[in-house]
Amino acid sequence: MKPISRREFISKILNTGVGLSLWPLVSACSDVAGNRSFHKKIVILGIDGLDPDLLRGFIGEGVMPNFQRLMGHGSFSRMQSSIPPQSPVAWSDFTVGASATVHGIYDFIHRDPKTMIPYFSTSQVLESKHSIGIGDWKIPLSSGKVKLLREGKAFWEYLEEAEIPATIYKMPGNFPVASRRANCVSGMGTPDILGSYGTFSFYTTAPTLKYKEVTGGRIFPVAIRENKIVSELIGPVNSLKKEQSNIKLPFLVWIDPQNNVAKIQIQNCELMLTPGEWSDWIQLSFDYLPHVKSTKGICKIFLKQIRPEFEMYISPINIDPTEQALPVTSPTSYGKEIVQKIGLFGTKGLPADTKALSYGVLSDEQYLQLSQQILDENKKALQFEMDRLQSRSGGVLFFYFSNIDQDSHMFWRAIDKKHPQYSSTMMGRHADVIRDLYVEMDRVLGDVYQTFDLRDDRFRLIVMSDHGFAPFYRCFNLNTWLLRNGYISLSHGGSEDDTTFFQNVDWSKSKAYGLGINALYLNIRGRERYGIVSDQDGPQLLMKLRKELLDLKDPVTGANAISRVWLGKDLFHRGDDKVPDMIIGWNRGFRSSWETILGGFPPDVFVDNDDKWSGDHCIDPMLVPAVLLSNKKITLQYPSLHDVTATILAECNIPIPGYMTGKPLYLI
Amino acid sequence: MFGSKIKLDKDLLDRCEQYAQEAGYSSVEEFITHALEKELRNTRKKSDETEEIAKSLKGLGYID
Repeated sequence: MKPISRREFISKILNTGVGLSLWPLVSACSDVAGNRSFHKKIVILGIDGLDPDLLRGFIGEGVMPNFQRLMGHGSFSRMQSSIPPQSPVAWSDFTVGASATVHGIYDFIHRDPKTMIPYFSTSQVLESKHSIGIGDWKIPLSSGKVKLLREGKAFWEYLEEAEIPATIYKMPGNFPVASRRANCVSGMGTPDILGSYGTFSFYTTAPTLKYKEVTGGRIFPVAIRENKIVSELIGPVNSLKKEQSNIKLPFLVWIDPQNNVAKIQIQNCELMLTPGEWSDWIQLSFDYLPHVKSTKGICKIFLKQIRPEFEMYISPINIDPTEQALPVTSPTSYGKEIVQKIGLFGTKGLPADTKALSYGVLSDEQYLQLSQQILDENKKALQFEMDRLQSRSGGVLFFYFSNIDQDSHMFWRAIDKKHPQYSSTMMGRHADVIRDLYVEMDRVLGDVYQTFDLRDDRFRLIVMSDHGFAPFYRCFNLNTWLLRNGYISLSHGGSEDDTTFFQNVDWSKSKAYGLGINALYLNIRGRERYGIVSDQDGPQLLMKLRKELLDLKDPVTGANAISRVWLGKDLFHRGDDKVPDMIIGWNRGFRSSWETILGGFPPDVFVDNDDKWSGDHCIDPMLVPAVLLSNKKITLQYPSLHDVTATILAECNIPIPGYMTGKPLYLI
Repeated sequence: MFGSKIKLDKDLLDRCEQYAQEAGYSSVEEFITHALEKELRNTRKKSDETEEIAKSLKGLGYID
């Protein structure tokens, strides 16, 4: 099987029954009785991006009494993040209890060295080999496959073997989900129904120049005629059709000429919305072959305004958890069970719409409204799972929250006067956004205390993050720097303006390139398709690059852009052509630029970060440590993510496998 | 067949002639034209594919 593009992502596999093929071993009932001799209840709250310094500060202000109580009862510690401190890497470290040597995830983005095509590191779609053409239709004859690229054995697989009931709710890098006994909901890395990691739709009568070209979404100009707007919602590509066009759902908006209200009609759904109002999740069906093959998605509609210009936002279309186009829960019945208890819930891996905020499609307030809805949904799901665990004699619950991470990315500008996007207006309106989020998580902790007794020795509570947070002031264009310093050459006639994806790079004269957020690769002979650097020359070249990069100073601030670098071969001991040759630890305030991550060459080496995405963590991991709290005293000094994994197994009386590098946090 | 002349390394040309003969091409020009068209098609396809992948990745938020 060969890898295929995301364009064909959903359509290829929906038509070939992949959903069923991925769940051969699951039981029909998600409520497993389990090991009756296990009487411990373990809850792990995974709060992405929870920062130790911010947390300590807010605790000091007295606004986080529940975290304070946990600190007093047990321990609060900084925790080592992964190298690099990116969520797919860090949560994979936690999942398998070891580094990328075991799980093979080095960055959000990996590349195929033979084609230089980038892909999301934790999952891949493989197409079916054979199809037949009948008229306008192209019918696949065998199943395609979605493949989880994270390797190694997840800690919950050990729990399954010991028949300990486990629920793993939205663990990043766990898509597609497949489990024998544990209940799992997939997390970061779960695509929307288009196969992308988030594509919103925005319909407006305003001149579209106002919204220029956007990424992470599409802008559709519409016109009002006789108080009506007719348009289409773009669905997945129909790969059963030979021309591979998108499935489109027509919709109608009726605008009340007297009142400030609109009626939206799409498929069987009719909604009345007033400006500033969000719909609940609505279910939509996309037909591949009418009456034969369709797939389901869910989305939210936000009527931004009606007058003077009409503006309507439709969220990325999530995979419907009740009729799953791709495996987002394991077993499948678990998705329906959650929906019965809490209603429809979002399944896209990163649920907040940061791109819609970056481009002004959603305002700060509107983005935060959606963020709050996501949090409320998660709180309901957590309560449901805590009640289930409480009703059992024992078990393990991991529950993930994304809000602090995504909202810290977007609102760091509100708390940091040095950020280029900071303004006093911003400070006035949103100065407390991040603090309020931390306070919300404190309330979540309060809910845990309502359900479980913190002092019960058979109850273990662990609160952890994967990394902390830092400002993102300045962008560094790594590929531009490599070009200016002779490590990359462009083909004759190629210009820097059109070199996205290294299109005009002359690989026969290029020695190194950056791809991903923290990764640098050499153009190695025999590994890269047009590699020129020999195995003998590689180490010396890396030493030279390391020195030059570590010496590099921002001409505006005078600060070093990079504080540490690691050689891939020193960190990751596997013969894998995915291993970056160098991991770059950006200094506080710096990060790789937006464009250089996918092989672009913006003109300047350093530029201000003018995006609302103003905080980041993909830097030197020593500068963004994670957080660890527990209701039992932690005796290990400066623990790591791997130690939490080892602790879970130890608490469950499961021997810690030799390849795991962690140690239990507690003295028995 | 060619509208203008292209210089090729002698060894490469010899290998092209040999392959063209073995593979049943009527001339070396026909083989080279076919090979170049195929490569250009692949490059265009790869470029479209990469663009689509980029679009999908941009929804993560970390890339623009």
